[in-house]
Amino acid sequence: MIGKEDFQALAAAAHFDLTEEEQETFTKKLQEIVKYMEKSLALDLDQEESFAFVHDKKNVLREDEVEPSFSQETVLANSPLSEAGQFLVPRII
Amino acid sequence: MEIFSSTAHELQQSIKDGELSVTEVVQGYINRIEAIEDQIGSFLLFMPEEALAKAQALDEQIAQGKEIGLLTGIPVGLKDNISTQGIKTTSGSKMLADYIPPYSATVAEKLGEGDTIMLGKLNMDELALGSTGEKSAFFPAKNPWDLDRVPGGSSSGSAAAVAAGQLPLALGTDTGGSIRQPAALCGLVGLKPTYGLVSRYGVVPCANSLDHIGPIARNVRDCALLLQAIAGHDPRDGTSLDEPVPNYQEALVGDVKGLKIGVPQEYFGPGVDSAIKTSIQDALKKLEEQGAVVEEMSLAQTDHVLTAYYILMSTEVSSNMARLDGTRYGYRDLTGEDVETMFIRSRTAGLGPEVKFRSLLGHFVSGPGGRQAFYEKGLKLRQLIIQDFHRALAHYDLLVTPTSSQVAWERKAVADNKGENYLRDFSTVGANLAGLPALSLPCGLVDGLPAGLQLIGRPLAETTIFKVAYTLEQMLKFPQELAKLEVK
Repeated sequence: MIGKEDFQALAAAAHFDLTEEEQETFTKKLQEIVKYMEKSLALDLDQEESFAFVHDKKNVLREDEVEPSFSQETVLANSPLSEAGQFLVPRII
Repeated sequence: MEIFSSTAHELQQSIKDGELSVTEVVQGYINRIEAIEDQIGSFLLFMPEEALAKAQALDEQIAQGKEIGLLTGIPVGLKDNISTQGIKTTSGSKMLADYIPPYSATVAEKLGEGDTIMLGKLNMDELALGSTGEKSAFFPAKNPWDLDRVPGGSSSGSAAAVAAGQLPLALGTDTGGSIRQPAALCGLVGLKPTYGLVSRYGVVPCANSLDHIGPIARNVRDCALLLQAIAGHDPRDGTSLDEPVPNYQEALVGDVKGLKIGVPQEYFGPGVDSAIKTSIQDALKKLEEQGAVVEEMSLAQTDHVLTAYYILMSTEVSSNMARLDGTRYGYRDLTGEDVETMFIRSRTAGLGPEVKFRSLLGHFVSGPGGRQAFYEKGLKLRQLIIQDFHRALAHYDLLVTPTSSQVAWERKAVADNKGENYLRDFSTVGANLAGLPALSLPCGLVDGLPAGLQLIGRPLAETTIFKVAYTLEQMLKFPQELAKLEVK
């Protein structure tokens, strides 16, 4: 079961500030889904392999050549705040 | 016949024969959109002036002898999570309400190079998370067959627009059924291609190992035309397959003799509307009459499909959504004094409940407390499911299932606090997990609403899918009733 503290840790990790009502609804939904998963999670799959992708694994590389890229101005165009060619954010440390 | 009730290939022929100018075609659709958009809500951004300017330029080039390609002058719309350089791409989210991409998705470039005319960006469930269209942060798209019902989702605007005759063709994206399910609910043909056949470069990512871009159209021929225009290798997408693209139009022949079709019984359980089952059985009988071999069979791992999907999808979603923090683009709350507070306040205000919930689920199944074992298990379950499909497809050319267990349901019929909505994805997610091509074809009406059947094929066997879908389409004569929608 997912306790209130567990849930708050999840919300903090995901960077959300949730209302009491959201916490309640989401916890209930989470529990329903985890309960649904129980049967599959109980399978013994130790002998199975795990891959993250569906195709054969291979590295996709290109020649290490300089290609045109976006200008600083283009990259910063969508930034909520920028200054002197940089993204501007509040205090980090 | 009204311009808007034509199919893309009919329009293309008329343009080629000089019966219609591109401007006339585009104006025909603009008129249709303006007349009914208030009722449908499929467009997040409508671009009539830009479209007309391009149409006029194209007409001049055609007058000077420009060669007419497969989609020259055909209006299209893009789901709003497909990046368009200099044109707002919101992904249906307040977080990206003012986001203007500095580059275009490969599919958008290809459609531009193919001289299609983009009429706008289409409504969707926020960040492609949802299956009803009701999770758009702006307004819900409605089902043209019955405006009180959902069009399905998350490519809700793409399906609603094509079904309403606002567009002949649209692109959608499909992570767990988001092209096929709305196509089924709106009486359209929708294809999720083989993983890697269509480049995803420039699509706002949802779950990268499951995301696909594909066509939504009113018939199989149009669907094949649009796939032709967007398929092919792209070095900018590391998962793009370097394989030749066949001529899909050549597959459009009524010939299914000797093809082996498997019907997995697990997909016809008690949760599926019995009238939809009957309609699929009738379609299968027609294929048998044409010489196909239809057999009931089993996909033994079907029980685990949703668990694998929800673990992997939500983990990838939580990772992708983490980038939406207000730093480089998107909504930013300016009241926080430190960066952590800025992230939290921006994300809390900018993202909707579905995005929050799936991010939390992703953190839960991949997070600390021994639960990273869930993710590992999800990957292994996926392998079992892939093997299950590959075993079946070694024996059968195609598998047939329902696309959706129900026809379009009433809006707001399912409360947000229920896990029930998640179980509706059941029939479509397997093809995403296994990267297989899958197409939804309208197969009949149930209480006046469209039902869809799903054809799942071997990797890169889109031609086989098109051939069977085309054959069935000729026999089923599904009633495309665009005129049903009254212009108020």
